[in-house]
Amino acid sequence: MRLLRAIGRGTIAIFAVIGRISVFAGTSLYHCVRPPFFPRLILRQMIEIGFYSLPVVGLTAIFTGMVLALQSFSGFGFAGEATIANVVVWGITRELGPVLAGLMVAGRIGAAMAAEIGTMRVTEQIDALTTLSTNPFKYLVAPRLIAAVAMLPLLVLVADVIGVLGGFIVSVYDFGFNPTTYLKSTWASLDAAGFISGLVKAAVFGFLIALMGTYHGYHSKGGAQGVGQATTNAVVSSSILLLLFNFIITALFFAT
Amino acid sequence: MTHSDTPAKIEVRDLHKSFGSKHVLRGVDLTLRSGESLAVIGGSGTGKSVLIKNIIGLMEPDSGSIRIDGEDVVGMSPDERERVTRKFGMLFQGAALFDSLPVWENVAFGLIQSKGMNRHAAREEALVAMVQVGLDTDIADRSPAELSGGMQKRAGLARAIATKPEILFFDEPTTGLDPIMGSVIDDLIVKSVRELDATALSITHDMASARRIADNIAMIYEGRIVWHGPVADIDDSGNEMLDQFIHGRSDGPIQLRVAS
Repeated sequence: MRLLRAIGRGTIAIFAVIGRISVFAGTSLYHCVRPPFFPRLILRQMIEIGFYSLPVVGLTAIFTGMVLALQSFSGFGFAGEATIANVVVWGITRELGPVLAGLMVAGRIGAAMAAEIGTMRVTEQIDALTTLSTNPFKYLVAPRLIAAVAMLPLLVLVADVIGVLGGFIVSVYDFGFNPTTYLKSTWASLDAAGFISGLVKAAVFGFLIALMGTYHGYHSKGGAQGVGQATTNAVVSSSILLLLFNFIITALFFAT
Repeated sequence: MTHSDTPAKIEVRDLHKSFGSKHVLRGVDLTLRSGESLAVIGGSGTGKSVLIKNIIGLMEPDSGSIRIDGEDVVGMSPDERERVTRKFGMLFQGAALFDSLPVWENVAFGLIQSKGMNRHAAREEALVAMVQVGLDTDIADRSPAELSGGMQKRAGLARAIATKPEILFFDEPTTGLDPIMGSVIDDLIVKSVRELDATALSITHDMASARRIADNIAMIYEGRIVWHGPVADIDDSGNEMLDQFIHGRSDGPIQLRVAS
């Protein structure tokens, strides 16, 4: 009986959290499409999310592309420009580009959003917004969601290019492949479905990262400890959701 | 100063609010007349903050009514509520300045966002409000983090009065300030309320501040108003709880539960 009660309590708690996040997401989306908009804030968030994440996403992508080429050649035992170019292009554009860029941005931006909004919550700045007739969803949440959904695909596009370049550098300068042939193989390996699925994933990941960052920040309480907890929760939940949705989108695009 | 002949600006009737099993507000009744300055006093955890948050719309009560200018705001749609909130200005306990914005933009925030004023005109208005509360306009472009506690309170007050609200709320306006700065802030509050001809509701446990800024005092204890009257009457109210509170005595009807 006690076990059943514990299971029931746990199940209700899970559904309550899902419900709260769904209501938060619905309210946020409503304010994303309903004026007034805050273009200055959206632009600021775009720069924060897109421009300032470029170094970390670029570095992640180039090393991933290089390792992918190395593993394909020495680890998996593939040989030849066509095979390695194919593995690098498919690996980067379909999976590693969006997932690794997403995880990096979740760590950098999701944490920052939760910390900033969480601090605003515990110092009554969010209450102050309300008393100044400004809806916190419109002012704080919507600009971050719009900017993240817009910038993640661009970041992933950059990650794709840099990741493929990493594979090219290793293949040409380490394995001694012919650069022209390798580039031709790279171009031939590009497929629309794989490339588009990567960008769709990026947009969804952007939404999830911003949603979790703002949700946990918005509901943080209890001072510095609460803000720290919100930051951790934002990164962990967005990373897990990101991997879950990566599977779902991959299944939708490629499962036969 | 009496306001018995002026219309009610804020009317709170039988207001209840609970958090889980904790029943914080247990039927609060309160009326503020136009132009009146009321201070709600009471110890920590008696429901002062919850009361003010319900009136402002930061919380929804479980039951009861809150009328602003005769309009019941409980259960209003967010858009309607926003219209009513435009009548408000609030000074928060910790000032609650937006640390991502410079001081002038904090002060001008309501003018830009709520009144739709362009940034240049709003800056000019903000500088006027800053001068009104004794802030040097040289600090207009500084970040709030660079200001002292007293200056932050002044900037918060400038933000509260910049939109020329009809109703001003003050949440523990002197907490964290030295007595002299507390007195300065109180004087600024009195001056601002008078100049705007506003109605003011303050919550405080600082009796010196309450005497300076309020026409009337209401004491809240265990979620109910236990005494309400003119500030001049508080020293001979005949109410044991009020007597104990204003004299800071540990003996009396108010018993603090101290964990042993």
